Amino acid sequence: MDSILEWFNLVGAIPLSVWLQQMYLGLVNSSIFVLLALGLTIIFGLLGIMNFAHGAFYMLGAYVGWVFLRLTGSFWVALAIIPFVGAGMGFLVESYLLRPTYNRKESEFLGILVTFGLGFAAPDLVRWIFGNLGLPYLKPLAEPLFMIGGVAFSQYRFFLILITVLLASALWWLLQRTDLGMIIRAGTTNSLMVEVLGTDIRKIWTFTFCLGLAIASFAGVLVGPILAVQPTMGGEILIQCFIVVIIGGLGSFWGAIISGLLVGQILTLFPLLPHCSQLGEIVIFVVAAVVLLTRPRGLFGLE
Amino acid sequence: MMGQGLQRTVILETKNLTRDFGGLRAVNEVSLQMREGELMSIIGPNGAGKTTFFNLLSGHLFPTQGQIFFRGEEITKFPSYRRSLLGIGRSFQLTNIFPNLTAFENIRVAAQSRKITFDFWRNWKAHEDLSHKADAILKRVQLSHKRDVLANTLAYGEQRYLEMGIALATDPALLLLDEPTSGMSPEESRQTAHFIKELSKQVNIILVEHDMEVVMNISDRVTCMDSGSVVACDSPEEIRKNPKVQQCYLRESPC
Amino acid sequence: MANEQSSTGNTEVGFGRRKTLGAVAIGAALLIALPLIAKVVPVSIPLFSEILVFGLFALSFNLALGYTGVISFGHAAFFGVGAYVTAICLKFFQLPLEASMLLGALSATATGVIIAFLALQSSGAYQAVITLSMSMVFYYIAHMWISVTGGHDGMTGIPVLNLSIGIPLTGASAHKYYFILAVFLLCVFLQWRIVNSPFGKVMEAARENDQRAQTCGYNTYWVKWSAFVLSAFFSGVAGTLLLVFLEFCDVYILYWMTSGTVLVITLFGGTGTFLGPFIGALVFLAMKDGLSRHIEHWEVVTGFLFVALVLFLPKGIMGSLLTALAPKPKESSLEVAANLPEEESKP
Repeated sequence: MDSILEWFNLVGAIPLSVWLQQMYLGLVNSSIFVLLALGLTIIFGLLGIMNFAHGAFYMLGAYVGWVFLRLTGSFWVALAIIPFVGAGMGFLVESYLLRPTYNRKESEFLGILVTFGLGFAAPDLVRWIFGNLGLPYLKPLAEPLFMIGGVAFSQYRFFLILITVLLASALWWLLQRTDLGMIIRAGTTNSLMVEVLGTDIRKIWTFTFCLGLAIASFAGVLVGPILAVQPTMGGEILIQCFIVVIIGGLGSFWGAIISGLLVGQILTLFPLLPHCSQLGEIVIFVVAAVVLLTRPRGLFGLE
Repeated sequence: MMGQGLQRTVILETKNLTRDFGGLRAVNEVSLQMREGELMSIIGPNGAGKTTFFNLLSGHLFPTQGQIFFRGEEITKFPSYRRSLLGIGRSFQLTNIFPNLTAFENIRVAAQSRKITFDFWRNWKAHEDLSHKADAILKRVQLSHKRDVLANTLAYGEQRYLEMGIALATDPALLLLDEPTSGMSPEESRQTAHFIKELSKQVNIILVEHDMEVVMNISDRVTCMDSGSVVACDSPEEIRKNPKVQQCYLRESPC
Repeated sequence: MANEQSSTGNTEVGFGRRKTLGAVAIGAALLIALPLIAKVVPVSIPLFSEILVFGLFALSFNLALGYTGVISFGHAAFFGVGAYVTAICLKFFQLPLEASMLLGALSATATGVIIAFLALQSSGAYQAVITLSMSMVFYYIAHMWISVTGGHDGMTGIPVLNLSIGIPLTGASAHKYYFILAVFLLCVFLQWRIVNSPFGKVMEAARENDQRAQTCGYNTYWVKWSAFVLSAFFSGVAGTLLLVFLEFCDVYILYWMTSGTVLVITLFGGTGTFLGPFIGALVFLAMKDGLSRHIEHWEVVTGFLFVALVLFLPKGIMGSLLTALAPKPKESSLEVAANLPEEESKP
């Protein structure tokens, strides 16, 4: 009993500025989750494929981005090129590995086996090429932008949040306001209908997959300056993204965003609490489990 | 045993059964009674709500309003497996079998539902009565020669019969057959109609059908539905003459 | 996946019941005689111990995947919990080996109960998402609880294993191999009974057509739940055997890649036959052992094996082998499908 009161006292003693600092960092985390969850959602929404390689491409984006960084000496060039590299990889994967599975029985299961296999191979492949140590990224925009409670926060982090908001808005506009977006959202209706509308559905599948991977690899470069780039980062982020999607609801745009915010905050705020440093990791699982049992489609899930 | 007197018992009753899909009312306040010993057919143009009504009866959909009674017991909220255990069997319009099991196994596992599920130890063959029953039903649906063939390699017509065999294996008191002759040739349809008529001497049957010849030949009563509501419910001769029924079909024709 | 292969009973019918029993008997005899064979031929007993452990894991996994159609990408949770709880009982509570193993298996079963409730809230790809992510919580717990599990470095200091009747199971001894083999054979026997029981047949029906099975009167939710929990139990037993084998416990066995490994092993062997997954483990681990000198990055190979399986060998080894050897190959759905014109259906 005493120790619980003591715990609350300790929590109460944490200054507001520290809370705000962590919440700001939480926003940064959330941004990555949102980007990845949105990519996952649009791929699943249209192609019906759960991309188990999504984390791997995030990780590959970070590594290949580093290569471009070394080649060109400019972080911004690397950041700009990587989405296209990611899309290129997506094109190869979709055309040669996924497409053969579309007409087969249980194509859904086969699709996730292919992507899972790629996600499985990726960390070791990267270890093979780059070795086990993390890669040093340049730190662009390192100058402080503003202060919260005596701690300076760099321009870069703000940039990251800003670019996420812009990208998410662009995606929203694409999905809600364009014909292409309408087709993507239509997703589960039969492709005969879509073909009647005068579009080649295959190209749209490929495009959507490439778009998802472009965003994922872009996110990988984005975190380069602020996070340790390691072969295992893909697997970890994938699990967390799945948690985000389970909580928010698969196929829901706003679910991905709100859930991404929630999970990001939980993971960054829990370390503030005494004796709870890694409990946040466990808490998100518990939240996901509760959501699954009460609202299996997710908080904002459809159907 | 079928009730033979004038006062046949009501086996199935619906009261104001309604099902909405968002703004669309697929089944509209359908109140029907079905008595023991009769073979009822449900007819109506496409989109009349026949299959939705069937889904409500078998528990694959739940009503927005209204009630369903089976032998006096309210089953409105029961899931499909519970209704099956009470004695309602169902076959499907789109063939719905166990693809990678043999014809024999398809029927045997359906029959097993009446006996045992959670037996983890004894060999399934020890339940010989189930194997005998499956063979008997296979014979009845004329698929004995295809006993050990994988169900998904059977011909279409054979699969439709397997479909009915699966439903029969669950010892239903009431059998719901959803377009059993769909996709069949006229000759096959006639044979199937005869089969169903024979069957109706032991099992109560409700049939959804498009084939008028089948319907008129074998039904005791015919219910016509249109746009979710019951238009008429009468003997085949009266239905044939009923102007409202003729109108629904006339309206449906493209010219 | 089982739908891509003929159902379990039927490949054996096609192959011939007596041939199957004969092959199995020979295999079992070889396994029993292995330590003797090892005196003459350079066969690695520890390798076969490992094959038995992962073989049992794969067979257990297939109860869920191949027989019941539940897609689990998180079976490492049961395997790992089985191993860790056994280790904890031995190290911290000094319980005898048998009791520790029993508690390990029961803990894995309890874990299975939890995950079953979560996994069955959905089906298909989403089920894979749920099982993969939910099972990782155990990895994180083991990682964090350093005082108990040793965290990332693994759990050492486990007391010497002794069967209560006084036989030590240490190192690469034949005793340890025989113990593992005995438990393996017992579990395989139990699984065989289950799969051929009335319940086993309902498992298959639920896999083949869940809705139809319900319309026949089966409450398929509880059928799948039970099958999943049984799968978790046996996977937990495999985990306890892993601990006996390694005398050490490492967080990797709770990691999602271990779930992936058992998945690829099972698919490799083929989900459509009873022993397929064991054959998959045999070939996979033998290959890994044989190539270990040349290939350092085995996970890359495993990953690409997934892709190769999907593109080239969907039935797995056993499925393809049996289809090739069956005297009267029945026209399988796969061949029928291959002859239909390609439709541009949604993937």
